Amino acid sequence: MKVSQVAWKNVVSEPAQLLLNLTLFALGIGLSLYLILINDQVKQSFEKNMAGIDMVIGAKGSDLQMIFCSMYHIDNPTGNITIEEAKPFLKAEHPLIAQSVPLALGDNYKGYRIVGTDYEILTLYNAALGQGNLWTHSGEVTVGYAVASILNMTIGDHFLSSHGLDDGEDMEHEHKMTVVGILEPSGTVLDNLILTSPYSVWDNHSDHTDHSDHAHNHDDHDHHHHHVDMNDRDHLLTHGDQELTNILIKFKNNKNFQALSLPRNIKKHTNMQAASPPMILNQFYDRMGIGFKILSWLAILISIVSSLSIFISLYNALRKRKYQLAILRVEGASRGFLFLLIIVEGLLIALIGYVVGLVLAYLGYIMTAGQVRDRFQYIWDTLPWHPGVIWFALIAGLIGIIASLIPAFSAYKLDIHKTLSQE
Amino acid sequence: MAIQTSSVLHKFSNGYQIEFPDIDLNTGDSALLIGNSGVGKTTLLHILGGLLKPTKGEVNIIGESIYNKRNADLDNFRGHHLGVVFQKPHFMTSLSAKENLELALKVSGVRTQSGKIEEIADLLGISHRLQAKVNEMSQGELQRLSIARACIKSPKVLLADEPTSALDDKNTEEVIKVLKDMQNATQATLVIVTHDARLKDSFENVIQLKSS
Repeated sequence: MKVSQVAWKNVVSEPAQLLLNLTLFALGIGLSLYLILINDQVKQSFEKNMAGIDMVIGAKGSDLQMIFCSMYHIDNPTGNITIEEAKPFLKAEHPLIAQSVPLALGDNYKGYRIVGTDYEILTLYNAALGQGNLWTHSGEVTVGYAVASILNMTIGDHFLSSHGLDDGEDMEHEHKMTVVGILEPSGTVLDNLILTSPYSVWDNHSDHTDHSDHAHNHDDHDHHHHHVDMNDRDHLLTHGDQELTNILIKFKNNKNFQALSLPRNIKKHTNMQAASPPMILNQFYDRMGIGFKILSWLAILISIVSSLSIFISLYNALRKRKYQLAILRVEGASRGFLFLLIIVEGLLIALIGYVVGLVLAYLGYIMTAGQVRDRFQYIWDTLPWHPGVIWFALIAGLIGIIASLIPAFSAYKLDIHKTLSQE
Repeated sequence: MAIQTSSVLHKFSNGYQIEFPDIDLNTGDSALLIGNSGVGKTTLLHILGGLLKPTKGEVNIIGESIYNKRNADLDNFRGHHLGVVFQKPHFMTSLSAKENLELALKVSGVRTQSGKIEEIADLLGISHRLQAKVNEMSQGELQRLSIARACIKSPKVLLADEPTSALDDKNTEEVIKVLKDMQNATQATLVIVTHDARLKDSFENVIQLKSS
């Protein structure tokens, strides 16, 4: 009979006490680990999609909303900007700008956003075409890998896009969209987008002039751009009165003083606003960090209470079992054996609590990932690995040992004669 | 000599002290140490069992001066050579009868042939209760289990502390018979400390303990 077997039998012989200990311990560990997993995935999702973007331009409004909308596609646009206003930042000759990507938003298909843009977006996100072609005509789309997989889309499929950016806003357009290509998985937001040209978006919206937020003056130009080179930036710029939602910009040198002050100048001197994603995201992390910190402290508090609970239960068990332990000494058990027995009991409680906590954390994560997928179409890792899993096992073990140290030392110091004389 | 003591005296923290008579017992002997309450019966048993170092005097068990040993060696000595039966049997309540015997063997460090547990349980008439949890067993069964635990490692010296104090005549007779049977089976030296005068007739060697 091994020490661990005896310890295990002792631990499970008090199911009510074990349940209390496990609940508290698993809650503490589970909550901490859950927060780490979520925090990690949120940061990963944000960072994967930074794509070296130094500045986002859009209509005036909230900086964070604009960045969430244009880079992560999880918020609504702050409004639209005209090509006329945006023109200087879309020109290849701009002295500070290395790359600019126009975005025209406004439609979705089954909750997946349709983004009117040009091929620059693929370079920006380092994405590649997997099957078929890129869009070459208005009404043609190239879909992200996740969209194609989830919606079972294949090349040649047709669909009617819906007005708005969420699945709930059902208002189908008359124009048929055709899938001409599917991107390779890139691990970026492109996996969840349907890419087309801005002309497609404009053509779709030419039927919705009654919607004030998408009202355009279409008198001066051709509504149907079937014969235009979809990737011709110069031609795009001739549509001065048409609208874009945002422009994603990479600077030639993101440490250049003029580049750094460009967002402020745009805000000051134009009807548009510009923001630096790294700066705004840092502000967001700080804000989010307060909530995470509060929850982390709560998790630490629960862990402390749970270790106290383990300590109290082991101490009470020791008091109840002191005759049994004294007789073990009579039978020849060393002091070290009793010490080890109590330590192993503490360790077992902590490690079972850790395993339950781990399961709870991952269950919570899976549920949250499901919510994120349903609401924002972001695919998080199925069961992400985090070094915290190992660290928490070690911490749990340490808590188990610390909580059982005093009872174990009392068992070590047990006076056999005194204990047995007290009967 | 299996047990040899000389000039053993124990002084308690409250100043009270007891002087014990010298004991000389050979291998296979049995003796009854009898006395009223307060004469130090349990204290003497603990001294003989290597559980309490006397303030003065020499205690030799199977030729070894046990209190000159280091703690770890004394634990090992107890495990290998001494078996103790207590008045109130205490067991690990989380374990079955058999597991308690396995644990006793494990901590004693004694290796026995397989089937030893079943064999001794059979001798004591508790083989049908080996899988039972100890808190499901009767007092009589527990007392037998306690004897089994003390004897399973075939100790050289078997000590029993008031093993019959709570028993009626019939059960007292039975327990003494069991202890003597076990003594014969293991060739141990048996020492029983008790205030139970009914046992006097069962032992030739009776040592009377008196208050000093």
